Amino acid sequence: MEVFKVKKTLTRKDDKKHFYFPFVLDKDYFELVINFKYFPKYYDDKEASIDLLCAEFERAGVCMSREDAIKKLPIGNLLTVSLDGPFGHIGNAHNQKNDIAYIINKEKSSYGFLNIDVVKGEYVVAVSTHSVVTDAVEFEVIIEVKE
Amino acid sequence: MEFYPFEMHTHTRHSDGSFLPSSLAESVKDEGLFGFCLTDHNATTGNAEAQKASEQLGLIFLKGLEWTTFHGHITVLGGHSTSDYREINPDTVVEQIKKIQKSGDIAVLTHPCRPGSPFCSGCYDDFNISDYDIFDGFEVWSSFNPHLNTINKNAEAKYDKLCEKGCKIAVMYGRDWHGPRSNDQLVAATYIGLEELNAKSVLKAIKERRTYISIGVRANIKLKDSLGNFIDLGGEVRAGNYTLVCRLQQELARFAPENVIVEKILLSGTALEEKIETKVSFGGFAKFLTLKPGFLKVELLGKVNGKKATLLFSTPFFVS
Repeated sequence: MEVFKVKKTLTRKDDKKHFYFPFVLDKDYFELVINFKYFPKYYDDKEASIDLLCAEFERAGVCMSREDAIKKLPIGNLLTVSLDGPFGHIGNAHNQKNDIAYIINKEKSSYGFLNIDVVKGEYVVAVSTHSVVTDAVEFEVIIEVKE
Repeated sequence: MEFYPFEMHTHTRHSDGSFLPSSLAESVKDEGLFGFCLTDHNATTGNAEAQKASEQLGLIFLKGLEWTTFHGHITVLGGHSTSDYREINPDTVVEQIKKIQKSGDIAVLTHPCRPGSPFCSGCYDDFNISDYDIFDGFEVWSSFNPHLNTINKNAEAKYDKLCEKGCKIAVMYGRDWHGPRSNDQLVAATYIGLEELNAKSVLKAIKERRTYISIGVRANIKLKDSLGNFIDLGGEVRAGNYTLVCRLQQELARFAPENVIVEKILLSGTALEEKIETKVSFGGFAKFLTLKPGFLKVELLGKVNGKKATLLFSTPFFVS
């Protein structure tokens, strides 16, 4: 059963921000699922990607040739999701997956999340934009619960 | 006091690594390291499994995590504190570090010179901290083949500048270990001088700066004063006459490369009138030194698989 949904389109101006979305569970449930996806993952403008890479390496004081930059392609967006609940922080999923479901329950939650009872109360799901390199990136979070 | 090799920067499936915590512990054991810290990105959920596996394997294990923020990455070692990485930014980072340190944990600035986004999001140190002495450790070397990495040379230079300003921070190496490595991915280790073989002693040693980083060399480096007292790396001494005493052995554990040749020892830092470079090989080495206020750093130069490299980079002795 879906209990919360948010869809948002971000631009490069939204790079390095945390977006918090509160929602409420009206009772205890067996399991909560965070369905998280964002697109596009990769930046398909090769020349712009090379320019961005070279600029960052130059800022860091490291020489990078065009050939070396090409080896590091593709570059991409990195958005991560985290969850807090009535008793505090539940977990965080910091990885490169851009279309995935995270399960939270008492027995075996997904990696990065605590094994907890999914209780009635106030929750906050957060999306963090570690890197937005494309002109726009759309993300969607759907929270489902199971009895 | 002996120095033991550790890996203090690791990741599992609880963030973006491919290891299970138990398989990471097995790899640590297999490679001949004495222990490790689990530092998943903004997550501590793998610590329990890693601890259990480490106990079964006889490894020293430290709980931890890596604050993976937009402005830089910091590993928090010890597992005594709680924190929210989303609240860490240039305005709050010092206060947050003090908070975790008050609980008994330590903070290590990781890969401070690694280029950031879009190469490695948030990796470059953009905290703009005015006093780096807030950190317990500074990852001078990072990643695979650290001896060949230009980024690490920049970090060495940055560390030296901090020492010139009077900062006293332990040098660290972080493999940033995300999964099994191939044969051409050589690694170093952080060697930590331990009074006892346990996690508490590891934290104490890093706070007291008893560390060096090395690829292929196990060393014991001390200053001996005129009364015959020995001072370990990271220690503080008064200006005067000392004998630097070194014992150098090839590291034979599996993590270390096999083909390592030590050629020179390089003594540098503001405690010396000028740098001293002397031929050296595995075995013993001693050098009489007159030290003035500043810092004295020890490096070993040589070859790894035929390529010239810095083999060892020490936390300095600090001279007042």
